[in-house]
Amino acid sequence: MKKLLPIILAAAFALPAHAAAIAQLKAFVAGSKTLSASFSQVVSAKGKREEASGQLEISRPGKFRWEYAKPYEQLIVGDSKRLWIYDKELAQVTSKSLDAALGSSPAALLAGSNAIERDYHLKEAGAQDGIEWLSAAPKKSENTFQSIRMGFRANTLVTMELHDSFGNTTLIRFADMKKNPVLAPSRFTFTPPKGVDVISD
Amino acid sequence: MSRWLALGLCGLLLTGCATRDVAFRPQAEATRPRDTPFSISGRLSVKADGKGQVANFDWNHDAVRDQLSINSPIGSTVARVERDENGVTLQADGKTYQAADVESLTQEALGWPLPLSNLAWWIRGQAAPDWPQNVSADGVLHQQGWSIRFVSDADQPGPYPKRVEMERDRLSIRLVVHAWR
Repeated sequence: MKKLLPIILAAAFALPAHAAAIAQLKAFVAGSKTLSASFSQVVSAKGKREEASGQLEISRPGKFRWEYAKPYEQLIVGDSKRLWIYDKELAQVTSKSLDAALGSSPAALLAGSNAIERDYHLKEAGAQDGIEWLSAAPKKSENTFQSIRMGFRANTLVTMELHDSFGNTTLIRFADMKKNPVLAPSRFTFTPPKGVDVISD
Repeated sequence: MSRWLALGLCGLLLTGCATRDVAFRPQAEATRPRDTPFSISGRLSVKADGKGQVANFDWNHDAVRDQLSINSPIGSTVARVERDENGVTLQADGKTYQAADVESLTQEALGWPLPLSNLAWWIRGQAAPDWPQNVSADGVLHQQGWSIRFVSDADQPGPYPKRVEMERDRLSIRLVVHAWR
């Protein structure tokens, strides 16, 4: 924590709250070694609207926990080597290499130290209602998302908008975001429960 | 008291607390079942030769048309199967595949056959009409080379199974529906 404080202070003083979005993204990543938040997710397309919500935890670099509570329970854990998905009602655990899994959750993207800048072309996308937006276009075309927009306020990520090539828009809103909370290492490991089938790639 | 505590912990912890699974009992139908249109969202897992994956899906079905989208947990579509009177197309990885039926198309594009037309009945906990069938003593339906087990939640029985488990050769598919519309 002592080590982090100067970084956080530097980030906070170097950038006024209304700084452009790319600068806010950098300050946000540099200023949060760990992160916790709740999220709500709305997926919409022609004739479709699906809502979900849950909890997010991140420990940089590369560890994350993305947990859906509603409308079904599904736990996604990235332990920096493998991605685990546990779906309770399916009674199924899936484990795959994390490299292949970046598109599976925004948490994977956010947990990296520079994954967003490495894999996406970033562009300022203006301000609206006190939120500074950036748009991110994937450098590789096989990415499942055509474009991502991220909205920041006071050097904190408040919302993400993801568009895919099939016309789906996923809107994610973060709330109760805490920077640098103490998170137990066990939050970022996964042991399959007894009696649950495990498949891997 | 301890039961309530256990329930509370299940809600908080997600791990280790299984719901009480029982066999789904379809309502007896005196007449031939009707192919009512449905629109559902759920999750599925596929295991072929020990390897596999899990995905979300949306499925719009009526007697002449199907649209099945395979999605990531955050809602982006990875593959889409569409069936109408002209045949079947599958879009994935920027490519479009075409075939006469869903089984051969998914076999070609995904490496495993998805029996979509009969699954439209199985997902509702029914045997497909017009196909030979037999049901073993443990309630497992045998049809089209598949063994299909319908699972219900003992505490929340519904008009449809909570989970459908299908097995055939070295392939198994599980589906859970979380929204019927």
